[in-house]
Amino acid sequence: MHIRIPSIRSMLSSVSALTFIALSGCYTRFDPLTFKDDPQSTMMPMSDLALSTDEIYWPVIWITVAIFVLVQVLLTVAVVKFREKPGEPMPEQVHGNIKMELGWTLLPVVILVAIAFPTVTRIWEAQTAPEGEVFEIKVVGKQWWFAFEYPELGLVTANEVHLPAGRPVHLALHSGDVIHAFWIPRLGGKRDLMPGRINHIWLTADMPPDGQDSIRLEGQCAELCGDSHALMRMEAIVHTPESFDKWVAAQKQAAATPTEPLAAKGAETFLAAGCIACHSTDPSNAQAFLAPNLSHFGSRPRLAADRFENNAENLAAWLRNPQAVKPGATMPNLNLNDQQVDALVAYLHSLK
Amino acid sequence: MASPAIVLPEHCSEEKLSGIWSWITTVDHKRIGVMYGVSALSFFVLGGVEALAIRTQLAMPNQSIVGAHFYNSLVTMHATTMIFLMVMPLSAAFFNYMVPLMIGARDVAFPRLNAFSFWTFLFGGLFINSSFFFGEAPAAGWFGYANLTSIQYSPGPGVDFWALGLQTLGVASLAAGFNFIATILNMRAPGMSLMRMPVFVWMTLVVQFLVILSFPMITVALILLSFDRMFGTNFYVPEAGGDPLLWQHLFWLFGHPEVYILILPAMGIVSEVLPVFARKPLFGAPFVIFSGILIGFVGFGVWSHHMFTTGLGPVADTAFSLATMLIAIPTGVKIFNWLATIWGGSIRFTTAMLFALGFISMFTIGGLSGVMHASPPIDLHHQDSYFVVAHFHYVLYGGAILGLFSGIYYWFPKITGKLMDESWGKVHFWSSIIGLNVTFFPMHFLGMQGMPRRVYTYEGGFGWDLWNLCATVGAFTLAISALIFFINLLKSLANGEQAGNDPWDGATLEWTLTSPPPVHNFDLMPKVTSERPFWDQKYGSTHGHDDTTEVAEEEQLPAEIHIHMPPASYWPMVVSFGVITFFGGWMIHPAVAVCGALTVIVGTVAWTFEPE
Repeated sequence: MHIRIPSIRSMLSSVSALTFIALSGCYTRFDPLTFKDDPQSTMMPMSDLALSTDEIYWPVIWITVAIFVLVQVLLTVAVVKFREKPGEPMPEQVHGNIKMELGWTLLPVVILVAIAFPTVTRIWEAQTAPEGEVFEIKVVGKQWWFAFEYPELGLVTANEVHLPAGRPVHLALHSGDVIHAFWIPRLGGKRDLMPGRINHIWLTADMPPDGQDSIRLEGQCAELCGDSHALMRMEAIVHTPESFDKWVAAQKQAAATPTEPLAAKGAETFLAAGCIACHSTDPSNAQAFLAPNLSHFGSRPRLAADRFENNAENLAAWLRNPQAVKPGATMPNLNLNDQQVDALVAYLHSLK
Repeated sequence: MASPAIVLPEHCSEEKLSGIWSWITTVDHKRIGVMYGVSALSFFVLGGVEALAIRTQLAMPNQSIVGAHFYNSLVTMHATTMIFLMVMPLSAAFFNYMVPLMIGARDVAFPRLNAFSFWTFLFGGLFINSSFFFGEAPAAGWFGYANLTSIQYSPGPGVDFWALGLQTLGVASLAAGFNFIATILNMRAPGMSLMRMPVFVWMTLVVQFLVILSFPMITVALILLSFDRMFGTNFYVPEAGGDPLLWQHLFWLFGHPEVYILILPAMGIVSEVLPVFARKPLFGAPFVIFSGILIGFVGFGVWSHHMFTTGLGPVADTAFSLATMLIAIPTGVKIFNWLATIWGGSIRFTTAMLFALGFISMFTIGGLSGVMHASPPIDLHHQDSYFVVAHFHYVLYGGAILGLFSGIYYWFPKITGKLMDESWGKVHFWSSIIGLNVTFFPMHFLGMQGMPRRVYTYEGGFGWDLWNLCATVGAFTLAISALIFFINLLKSLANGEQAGNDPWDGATLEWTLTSPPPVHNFDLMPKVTSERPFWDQKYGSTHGHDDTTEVAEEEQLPAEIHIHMPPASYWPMVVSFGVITFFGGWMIHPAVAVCGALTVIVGTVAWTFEPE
C-alpha cells in the first residue's frame, strides 16, 4: 500500500489555515475600543490593507487580555491565599518542578505559533504588488508638508491625497530631506519616507459609507522630523469613481484668474513679493516639490499642512510670519505689509 | 576560641575614610555604589522634571507653554537621562554595592577602574546636561536618527553634546562591564559555583556581556555621526551616497540589547526579593537563569523590529518578527516561575515585596503589548504612536524602576544600617502604582486613536483630549510618589530604626555581614555549598543532604589575619577628566581634545606606577 506523506510545506499551510480559522473565531471587535468617532482611529479600517491588519489585531488583543487576566488572577490568589499567618510553620521548600516549567515554556510557544502564521502571511501580502492595473501616486515628504503627484493624470496636490475607491492604488513613498512617515490610520499602517530610497504601500480604499460622494480621512507624519513634526498633517480624500472623475476634471482646470480688484492686486503681489519663486499655480507642475502647489488652494479646507482651518485670519497670520505658525518653516518671513497680506488672502482664496 | 584579630592596612583607618577627599579618591566598591546611587537619583529628579514639562505642555490641545524646538529637547533629554543616567547607573549602584557582598569578595576585580567608570559616567552625564546652558540641548530624539542629526538639519551644538556625551558614557559602561565580568567569574567565594550564584549576580553577569558586546556598536555609530558633523564625511548623507538606514541598524544593534541591559537587573532584584519574603527558594532557579541568558542571546537578533516601517522587505520583516516572538518565551517563563515562587509561600508584605509583586503585575502589561508589536502588521500602527510610549513605560517604569525601588527598600538597611519607614514606603508604593497606571494606561488608547509620539502639540477633536489630561494628572501623581520616596529616604537616613545584620531573614551572603558592612566586607572567606548559603546556615539545607555553609574551621585560624585592601587614588578621576576633555574638546578646539588625550595618557601611566 502506498502512503503519501504530506510535504512540510503543505503541513505548514494546513497548520496556518487551521490557526487562522481558530483566530478568526476570535475576530470580535469591541465597540468602545474602535474609537469610531475619532478621525484618526487605527481601529476603523477603510481599506483592504487596514482590514487585514484589523483581522489580526483583535485576536491578538483578546489573547493578550486573556494572558493578562490569567497572570493577575494567579498573582491575586497567591497574594491573598499565601499571606503570612501568625504561628505558621515554615512553608515547604520547593525548588522547582521541571514538568510544570516545561509546560509554561511550551504554552507560549503554541500561542506564538498561532500569532505567527497570520502575521507572516500578512507581511508578504502587504508587500506584494497586486496583479493588474494599479493607480500610481507618488508621495514626497518634506519639512513639514506632503506633496502628492498623480503621474497618469498629470496633476500634483499638496497635503491632500485623493484616492479612487475600489481601485488598487500604489503609493510610492519618497523623502525630499529627512525621514518622515506616511500614516493615514484608517487606510492602514505607516511606512517611512526614507531619503535615498523608495518605499511602497499597496491598498484599495473602501467605498465612502452611507452613499457619500467622498470621505476625508485624517493622517499625519509619524517620524520625528524636526521642530514642526507635530504640525505635519495630511488628509486622504477617498472618492467614489464618479466623484473622483469630477475632482480630476476640476483639478485639471488652470488656476482661476482673479476678477475682484483686491484679488487681482493679490495676484500681482504673488509675483512681485516672490511667492511664485517657490509656489506654483499650475496644477500639472510636477516639478514643484519645492513648496506646496497652490493652484486650487481656495478649495482646501485646511492650510499649513492640514493643521489650521483655511480662513482669512489664519492665512493672514501665516503670511505675516510663517515661523510663528510653524516653527522652523522653510517659507521666509517676507515682511509683507497689511495691504499686501489682505490682497494675497483675497487672491489665494479665489483659487478654487 | 576567640575570633582572630583582623588587621587592616593603615589607609583603611577611620580618620582616613572621612571627608570629601576620601570620597573623591575612594576605590571602595561600596562607596562607589553609593555615589552611583546618589547620582542616579539626582538625574531621576532631573528626568522627572522634564517629564512633567512634557506632560504639562500636552495636558490640553494647542498649548504653547514650551516651544517646538525646546519640546523636542525635553523629549530627547528625558529619554537620554532616564535610560543612561538613571536606570543604568542605579542598576550599577546595586552591581557595585551588592555583587562583591553576594559572591563573598572583598572588592571588585579592578577597584580603581571601578572608580574610573563612576567618574566617567558622572562627567558624561553632566556634560550632556550642560548643553542646556550652552545654546541648545539635543533635540533629535534619544535615538538620534540620521539624517535629522546631520549638520544640515541640526545645525546647533545639541547633537554634538549628545553624541560626544554618549561616547563618554559608553567608555564608562565598557570599563564597568569588563570589571564586573572579571569580578563575577574570578572572585567568588570558595564553593560558589556558577549555579550557586544568586540570580541577581547572574543577571548582572548577563548584563555586562550585553554591555561589552552592544556598546561597541553605538561607539562606531556615534564616531561616524561625529565625523559627518565635524569633518564633513558622508556616512549618513543620502545625497552623497551615504545611508541613513545604516545608523538605524547600528543604533538598534545596540539599542535592543540596551532594553535588556535596563530590565535584567530589575529581574535579578525581584528574583532575590520574592523568595526572601515568601520564605521559599526561587522556583526553578536554573530556568530563570537560563531564561535570562537566552534573553541576552536572542536580544541581539531582534533589532530590526524597531524598523518594520522602514521597508526592509518581507524576508527581514518575517525573520525579525519571529525572533521577537521567540524572546517572549523566556520572558513568560520568568513570570510563571516568580508566581510559582510565591505560591505556597508565607508572604510578608514589606515595601520591598510590594514593589516586587508590583513589578510582576505591571511588567506583564508591558511584556504583552510587546508581543503585540512583534507582529509587523500591528506594529505598523503602533510604531511611533502613543501605544509604544505606553508599552515601554510599562516595561521601564512598571518593570525596571519598580524593580529598582524594590532593591532600594530591600538593601537600604544593609547599606545604611537603618530601616526605611514601612508606612511611608507603602504610601510610596500605592501612589506609584496608581500614578503609573493613570499616566500610561490611557496612552494605549491614544495610540489606538492615532496619536503619534514626539508631537509638541495637537489639535482638539481627535478624541485625544481626555486621555492626555488623564496622563498629565497621572504624571503629577507619580511626581508626588517620588517626592514621598525621597522624604522617606532622607528621614530614614537621619533617624530610621536600627536594622541589625539580617532584618529580612535573608538567604544570601550579604546578610551575614554587619549593616553597613565593614570596609573589608568579610573577615573570613565564607565557604558556600548551596545557592542559599545564609539560609542553610540558619535553617539547615533543604537539598536533602548535609551541605551547610560553614566558616573556615576555627582551629585552622591564625591569631591575626592581615587583609590587603587597595589604597585610595585620585588618578581614576584624573583619567576620567581626561576622557571628558578629549570628547568634549572636539566641540571647542582640537587642541583641547589633544590636552584631554594627554591627560588620559599621563593619568594612566601614573595610575600604573602608583605604589600599592
